[in-house]
Amino acid sequence: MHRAEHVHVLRVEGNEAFEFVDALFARELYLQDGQLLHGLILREDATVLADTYVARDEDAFVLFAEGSHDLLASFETRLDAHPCNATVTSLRETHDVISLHGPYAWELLADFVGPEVIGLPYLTFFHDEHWSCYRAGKTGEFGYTLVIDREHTDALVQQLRALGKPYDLTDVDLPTLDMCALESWFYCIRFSGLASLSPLELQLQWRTSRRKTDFVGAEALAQRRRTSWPQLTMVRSDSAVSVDDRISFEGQPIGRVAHAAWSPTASTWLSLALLHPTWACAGIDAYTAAGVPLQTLTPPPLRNRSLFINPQRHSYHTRSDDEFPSICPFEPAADSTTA
Amino acid sequence: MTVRATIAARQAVLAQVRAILIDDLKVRREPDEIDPDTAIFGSGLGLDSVDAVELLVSLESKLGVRPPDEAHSRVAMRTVNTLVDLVLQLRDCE
Repeated sequence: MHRAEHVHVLRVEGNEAFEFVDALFARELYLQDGQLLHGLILREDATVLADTYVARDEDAFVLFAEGSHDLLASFETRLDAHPCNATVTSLRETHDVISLHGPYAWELLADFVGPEVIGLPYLTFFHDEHWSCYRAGKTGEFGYTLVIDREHTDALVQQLRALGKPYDLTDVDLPTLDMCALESWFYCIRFSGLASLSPLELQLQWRTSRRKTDFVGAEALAQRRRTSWPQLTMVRSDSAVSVDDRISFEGQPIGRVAHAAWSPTASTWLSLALLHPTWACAGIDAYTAAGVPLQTLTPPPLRNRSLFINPQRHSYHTRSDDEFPSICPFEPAADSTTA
Repeated sequence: MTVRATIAARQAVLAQVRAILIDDLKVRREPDEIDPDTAIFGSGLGLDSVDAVELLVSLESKLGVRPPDEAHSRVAMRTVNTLVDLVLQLRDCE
């Protein structure tokens, strides 16, 4: 469980709410009521301002955004510059956000809400009397974000903790979730080495639409597309590497390390390497970063347990009876003492 | 296999997988818009369980490969690149 203080939750309403959100969102906003869409809000230079889910709540839109410290101010500035019939309010003034993660998060939620929540499709949501539940997450298949009327937060959290005891429910901090994101190949806007990159380099083109030409950053993105672009590639190493370490092959520079961290689950160093497109390829063990041998991987580097969980057949309470593939597909690093 | 040969082999299969996704599964993207590590189902390219069956059929008919079991399918069909891994792995076994 995590108290998601870092997530902006903004509600956009009005006759032109769609137009306002659409002008910011880098992909086409095809959404039905009750659905979410994962996308990006870019800056004018096509770098990422906010990692965003957009939910359609009848005629309104709810944005869950990570990244920019003052997104509400950015939106208000935009409304001043481009007036339209839309209002933007921050739900953080009246609500709290709690997220639940883990391969059996669905089971805890079912104990809390009822078994029907097991059937809640990914990227959909529903409302309860004092809270709403959105199924989306960056740690695996079963991540849920609860937006709770502040008056009821303490009681709800207390209830979740009580129900969570048989599930070994644990509070986790943001760096832990960010490590899960790295291990599961989810984009994390807090990795500072990625700040200068556009969706092209980040392998996030699926969150943009080439057919859509009228959104913030569209022109710069189109400009970047005119030439080849380096590509973010997952890499592992037995020894530590650092952000901005130069990556070489046969003595020639082919890229740089954009993010690096020790994975306690995998017992290895995991890094995001920005490689020239000629050399951006999984399955290569001939590159080095500051003399450290690297192995490029097909992400995600870990076999997320949630991929193998079937709520119809599995339960946290009987997990010792189940056999799953090992989470870590490779041997622990020989140099694990450097962690 | 040299690094260059490995990369060339992988790029060739990647091109074939992209073509299957666009031509058979009707993914509305240009080939270079389909990043290699994009998820195929759900978020990502947005395919569903019905598409999964069609994808398996196309992999077998056009590339001559079939995942050996369900567990392999689940991992192999996670992203475009995991499909490429599967094709290369099964071809190596032949």
